[in-house]
Amino acid sequence: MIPAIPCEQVERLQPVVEALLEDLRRYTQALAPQIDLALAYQPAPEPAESVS
Amino acid sequence: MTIREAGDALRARRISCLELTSQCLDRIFKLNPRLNAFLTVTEESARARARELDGELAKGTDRGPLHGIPIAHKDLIWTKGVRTTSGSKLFADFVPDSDASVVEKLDAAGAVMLGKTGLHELAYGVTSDNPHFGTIRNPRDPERSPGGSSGGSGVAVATGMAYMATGTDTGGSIRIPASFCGVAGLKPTYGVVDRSGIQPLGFSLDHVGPLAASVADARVTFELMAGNSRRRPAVKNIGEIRIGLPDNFYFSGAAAEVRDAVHQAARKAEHLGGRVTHVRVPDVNALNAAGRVILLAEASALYEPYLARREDFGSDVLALLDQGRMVPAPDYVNAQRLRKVLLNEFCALFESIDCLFTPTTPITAPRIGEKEVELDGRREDTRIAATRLVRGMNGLGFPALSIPCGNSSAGLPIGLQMIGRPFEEDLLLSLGEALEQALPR
Repeated sequence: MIPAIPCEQVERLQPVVEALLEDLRRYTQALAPQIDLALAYQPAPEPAESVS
Repeated sequence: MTIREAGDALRARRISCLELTSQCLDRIFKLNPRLNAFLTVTEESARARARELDGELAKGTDRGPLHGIPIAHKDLIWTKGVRTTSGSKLFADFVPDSDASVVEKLDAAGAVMLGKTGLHELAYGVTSDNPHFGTIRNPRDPERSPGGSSGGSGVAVATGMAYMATGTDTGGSIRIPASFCGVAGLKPTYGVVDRSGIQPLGFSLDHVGPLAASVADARVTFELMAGNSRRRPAVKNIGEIRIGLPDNFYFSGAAAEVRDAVHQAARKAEHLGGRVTHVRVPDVNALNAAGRVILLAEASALYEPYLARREDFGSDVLALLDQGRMVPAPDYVNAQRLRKVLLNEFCALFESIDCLFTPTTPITAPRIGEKEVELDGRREDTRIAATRLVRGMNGLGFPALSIPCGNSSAGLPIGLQMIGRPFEEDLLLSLGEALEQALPR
């Protein structure tokens, strides 16, 4: 069982996280037309051509 | 002395592997009490290994450029039979029963392991001010941070305690200490160096690479670490390299001395034949936001089994792990999707250039314990400032090399970051080698 985050820690950190998430959501919305509808998980960039 | 020069001296019998190793150990014993770069020194096994390698050379067995060269590993990289703490109380007594892939490769190439270098707790931070194993100090000014999280590795190579040291980079952790300590640090393309046997932090963003006193030394060790992984050879002529100098993002909010030094480096590259053009980069603020959200969520998922032991974490790391638990799943998924959009945009930019020149960090090494720095009259969190220009390439997986490009008026190193296309480390290293001869150190 993972203990809950202590209240004072939540109070201190929640605004920090919310500010970051607001930024993320703003960027996501701005770029929405380009965002692939599929789950675009691609950790490694693909090379333009095959190399040895 | 570079790795090549040391190798030449070994092969000419002007020095032995044991003498090289002893020289490094002497430096460690002299400097480490003050700088705290090493958490563990494997003196006995290092000397034994050096003797073995001397014996091989005497019999005509030469393992190549790293034969007999003393090196160090960041202490989250597994070393069989040698304590690997990850800079954390959680793993303070952990002794792996196997080597990480990079350790195996460098050992097979004839490197002599001197020990394990200190780091920011769990590699989750950039100061290397570790509450469990002490503060690592910058050799240029011991009251300042060496950067992190691979702070011990940066200090070890900057002071000649080791010829190279391994590092990991999830949000700048190779390049930031390279910048603050005045050494070369390469974050390779995502996946090019095998991460097995290395304590993870954020699986989408983790990279492993070398820190070394020179680009040539970084190249030698990178090639051995990468092994046969796919890479694209560099163009032969620097005159064919198209260098992009960003008009937006990377220079705004950087200290004036840092901006000037990087612009000067671009002019040097032009004198060497490089073609410098001004470019506009995609939205790196968006990329950084995505990277921070991804890292918060992935690190908290990773350490969830340990979160009941709150007293075993430093306050800064615990705060980040708590923040990660507050990230909703849809935001994590959307951060991954946003990353893909920006990956496409950066790939489009790199159709017209071969590499991008930026500062590595907008600031030089901050004072130990300095929570905020002032840039352009604005106060900024030190961690956010130090990672602002480097974090993006962890999200994209593009290779990035940091080399010293001058000093501030206070005598602190300034780092130039060169970013390349995926699998084109060779281009960055070739340009870096040419430039480091021309740039002030």
